[in-house]
Amino acid sequence: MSGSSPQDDRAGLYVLGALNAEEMRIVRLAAGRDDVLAAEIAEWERRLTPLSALIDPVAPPATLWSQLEGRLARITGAPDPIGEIYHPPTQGLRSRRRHRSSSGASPWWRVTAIGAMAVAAGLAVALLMRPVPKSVGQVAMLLPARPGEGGWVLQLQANGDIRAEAQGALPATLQQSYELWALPENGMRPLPMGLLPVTAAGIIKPPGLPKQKFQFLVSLEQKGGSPTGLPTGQVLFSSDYVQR
Amino acid sequence: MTDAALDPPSEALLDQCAQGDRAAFRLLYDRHAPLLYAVALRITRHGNLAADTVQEAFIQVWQNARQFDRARGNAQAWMIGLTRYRALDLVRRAGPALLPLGDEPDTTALDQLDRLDTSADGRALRQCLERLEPNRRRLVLMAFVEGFSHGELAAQFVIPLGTIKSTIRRALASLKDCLDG
Repeated sequence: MSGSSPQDDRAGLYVLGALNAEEMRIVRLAAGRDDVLAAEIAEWERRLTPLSALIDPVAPPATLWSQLEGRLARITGAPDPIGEIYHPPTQGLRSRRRHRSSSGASPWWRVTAIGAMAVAAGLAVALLMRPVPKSVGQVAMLLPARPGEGGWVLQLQANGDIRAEAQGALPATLQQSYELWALPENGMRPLPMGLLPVTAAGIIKPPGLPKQKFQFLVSLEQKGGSPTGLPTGQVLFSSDYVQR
Repeated sequence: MTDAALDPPSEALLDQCAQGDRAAFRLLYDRHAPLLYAVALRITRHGNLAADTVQEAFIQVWQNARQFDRARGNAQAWMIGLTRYRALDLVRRAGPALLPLGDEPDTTALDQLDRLDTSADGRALRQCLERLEPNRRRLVLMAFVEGFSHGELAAQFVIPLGTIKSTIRRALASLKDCLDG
């Protein structure tokens, strides 16, 4: 116990996180008036914070940045570059059903998408569409329902590029690629957009985008993408309609 | 625990945040949010609460960036502190109702002390932790990583509260002597 003082005990226990709510409040108040205690707390933070290396990073929900940016815009009074978030929790699935009933025949990739979604109930996709200034472009999110699972944030750039940012835990595979497709509302075949990053963000330069509303689909293809120009693998994700 | 090798260093990004640079803030977020979210998740054990915690911590980062003091540690350590205290406040206020009984944390990583070897401070801490009696070491790790209070540790290990308090106090004193000695 050499070297231990009442301030030191309190500081160590506070930084360790062993105190109850009232004890934490008292230490915090005291540290605001007691420079010695504040310095002891700083010392204990220096000693113990390396323990955070025992914690594996976890990708936060993709919506977190949008929410944070909205808060920031309100704080700073600056325009929110992305805008408020609209959360239709199951709109993606409802839209697919509407589309199928209105178009009569159901192309196989659309059926595959619905089947994949039904089978992979844990990967229920919520689409978030946000009104955005034209300079930023449309933003769509292909997200799982549960935090930590994989998905992408897609942003249509003014020049036609798509910025794709991987979110959450996406199983990386050496043998397969995630391919992005744009499925036009008029029932035409899906257009290949490009391969999606599994980590971090990347720019996709699609050969073109449908002029009408379209959905994004993501299929799991052989390494390098579909050899046929159409989805050949399992469709894992689909978004609601995007209007350019 | 340092990202000094990254370009630009997080400390420089904090300086830019203090000048109102939102692009620097985004870089900080991209770089640190996964660890901060994981830290909050270990303490709150709830995705939404962890996300709320991280959001509040980053707002604090933005608002208090100019208060960051390099002499007291690196940027990541500062942000971890902001996040941990917020998460601890949250779970302490919510009380036991937040954590369902039988919700056992996965403490496997607590035995992997070699993961501390990524920094000089971490290596020194590992060596000192390894000198602690294993049960004392476990109490320290569960309090810091999982956010267990004295009372929760007493309940978890079925040990009288007074014994837990005195054991942790001795463990911290030993650590301090070892690290500062």
